[in-house]
Amino acid sequence: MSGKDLTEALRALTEAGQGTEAASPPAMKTRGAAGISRGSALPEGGSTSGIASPLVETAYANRTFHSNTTITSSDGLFTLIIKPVKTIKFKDAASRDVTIEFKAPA
Amino acid sequence: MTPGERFDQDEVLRFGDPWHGLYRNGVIELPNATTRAPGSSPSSGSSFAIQIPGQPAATTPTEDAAQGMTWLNYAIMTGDDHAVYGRPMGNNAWIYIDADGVPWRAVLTGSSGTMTITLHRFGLFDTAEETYSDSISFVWISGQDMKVDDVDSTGRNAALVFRDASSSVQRVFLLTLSGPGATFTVVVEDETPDPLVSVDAYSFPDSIWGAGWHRTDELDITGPYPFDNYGNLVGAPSGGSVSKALPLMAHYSSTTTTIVGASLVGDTFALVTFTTYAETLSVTTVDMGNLFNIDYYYGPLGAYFPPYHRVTTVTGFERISLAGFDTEVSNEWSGEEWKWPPFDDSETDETYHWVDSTYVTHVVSPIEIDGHVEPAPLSQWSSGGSFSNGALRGVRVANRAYGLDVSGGPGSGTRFFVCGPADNGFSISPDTGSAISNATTHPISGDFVTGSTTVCWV
Repeated sequence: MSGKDLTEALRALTEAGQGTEAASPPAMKTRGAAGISRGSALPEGGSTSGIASPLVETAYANRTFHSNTTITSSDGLFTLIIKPVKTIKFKDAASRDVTIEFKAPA
Repeated sequence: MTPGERFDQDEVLRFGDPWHGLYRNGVIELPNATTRAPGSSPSSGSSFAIQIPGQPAATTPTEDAAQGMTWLNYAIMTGDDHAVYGRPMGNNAWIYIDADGVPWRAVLTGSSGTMTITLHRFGLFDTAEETYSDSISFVWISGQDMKVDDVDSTGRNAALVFRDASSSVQRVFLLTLSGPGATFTVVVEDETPDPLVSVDAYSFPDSIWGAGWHRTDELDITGPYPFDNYGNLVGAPSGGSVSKALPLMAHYSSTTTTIVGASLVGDTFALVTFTTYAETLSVTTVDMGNLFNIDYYYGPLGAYFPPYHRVTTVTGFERISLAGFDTEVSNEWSGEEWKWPPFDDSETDETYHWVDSTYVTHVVSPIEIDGHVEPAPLSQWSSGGSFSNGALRGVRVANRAYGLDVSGGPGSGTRFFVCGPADNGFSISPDTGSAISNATTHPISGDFVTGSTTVCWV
């Protein structure tokens, strides 16, 4: 150690001993004072779960339907026959299968 | 449209035609006091309900009512071209609700010796057409046009009326459809009254039909004697001479009833009739001191006649009966005539009509019907059912509205009244009848409205 190094070390010790508060380490918190927190990490490219937009329907013919229902005009003259959609199949951006299932209309 | 393609995720709360009200002056008057242009204008005031039995009642939410909508559990077919949702099907077509409550478009066609009804399933979208037909034997008569005068609320009954070229009713039929569409049957019943025109004549007991005198070669005069159908004196001696006047008092009435259409008000078939009643009283006074005056003209009375003066009054009414509801106007008329008048034509005005130099008629009171006075004095006697040389006629204005009109003569076009099955409207003066040119009766409520242009419940 050179004389300069020693001097510098003594100065540092002296200033520390004079107790400048801003430079002091924080006081240790009491036990249990910390709140609950959770951490998470999103997967980066090449992960193996989840849905990647966009969803593209595989084919109209792949839809499945609930039983037909009818809706009639108030006067009863006109009737609409409706087949409610039950499932629609999609591929996501990663070519994974996605299926949406609908309930039958009440 | 492929079923399901367009409504996959939508919720349809209500659909149909919510725009109902009175069509007048080219717009629909809605219940919220606003107006709306119709999809198409009704061709006439005819208005028919199409009601499926058991169809649930419809309610109109407040927010819809605020926009002037009314949701109904029946449809309305308008005009005599039978438009549904603004689209005319033609007078020979209507909606038939079959025994299962399923709507069909029924189309009537005819060929030699046959009437055919063809049903087309109505109200389904993107569905292969389903049709069924049934035929019956039927005699079509050349010169008679068929019109579907009225249809009931299920289309199971239709009134078919045949009129000639002058619009006079000749035949009336009630057509009935029954059963499910696939196995339906058609029946047609002849409802034409026999006789087609009913005439009821009555002679009042105070009449004195005596009108002829007999004179022997010795100049003994007896009489008066009545005439028989051949103009001979009944009860007079044979030989000698005869002098003829007119009955001393002719008091008689005539009631004539004709058919002007057919209706199905309240789904009940009824003929629409026009009745004219006239009571005539003619009182003749003769110159008893000159019973055998020589008729140089050898007029209708014979070679001898007594100078006479006759005063005639005619009173009566014209009535249209529609579904048991009568609308009528009264009429009155009077005139006088002379054989060998005590004056000559230089002393008369235009109300006197000279038949020849010895025979003159005079209109004392031109015929007056409900305030309408014939526009020109007549030279002919009226026996009821005429006005200004025109014929009084009942005319069909709409399926449940009829009017009393004059056809022909200087009064042609005059309309005295228009009537429905529960209400009517009269012209307020002879020259302002245009406000009753058109009329419509609501097929459910029966509300009756008249107008100068087409009015129609839609």
